[in-house]
Amino acid sequence: MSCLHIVNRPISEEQLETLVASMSSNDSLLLIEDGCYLIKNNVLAPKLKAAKVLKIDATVRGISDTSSIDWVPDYDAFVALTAEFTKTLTWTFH
Amino acid sequence: MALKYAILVTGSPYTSQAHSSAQRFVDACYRQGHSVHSVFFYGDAVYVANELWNPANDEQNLQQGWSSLASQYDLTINACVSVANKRGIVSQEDAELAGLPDHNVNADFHIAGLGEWVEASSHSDRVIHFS
Repeated sequence: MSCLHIVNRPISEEQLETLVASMSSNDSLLLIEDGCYLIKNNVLAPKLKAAKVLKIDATVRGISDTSSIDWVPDYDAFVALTAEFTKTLTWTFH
Repeated sequence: MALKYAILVTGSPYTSQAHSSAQRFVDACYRQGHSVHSVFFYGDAVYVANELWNPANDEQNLQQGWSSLASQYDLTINACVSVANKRGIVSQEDAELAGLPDHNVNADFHIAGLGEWVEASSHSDRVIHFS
């Protein structure tokens, strides 16, 4: 069992800690849409070193200068990534 | 291995990227050799089924995007009946039952119960939620 956790919006440090605490060793985190902004957050970025980022969403938000990021280039790669995990979970934090 | 996806969309078409992302994802699914069981709209996502949607010509038409995908891939697109009705998105059948003067669901969209989503998710290999 493995899960791809998806975040599509800015979240707080506390919310990120809740999310990370729920992840098992086989899980991954993918940032899409406004969630891409998290990698430019000075407080949260150090905790997101293992996160993947949907590049097509990041690029349209002016985020492209972070070479250490594990980019998922486009939606074809996004689909391929979901196929690698047995399930996905989109965190909404309402 | 070809997978079957169930897509849940809950984000508003006006204030979120959910519909645009989901449409790109569905298109990519088929490009990758996968298929989509159905798309289910819940919460404010159901606004996209309003036939009276009439954006300016230079704005993205998300309803047309779903209609095109439904036609291209013979894709079923469902909007939840209870959240649709309370938002004034009403099928002809529901309008007649409730004695309402008109109906406004785009013909490419189906009005469905939550059971449709349960069936979709239980008969699919992956569930993806765009909020």
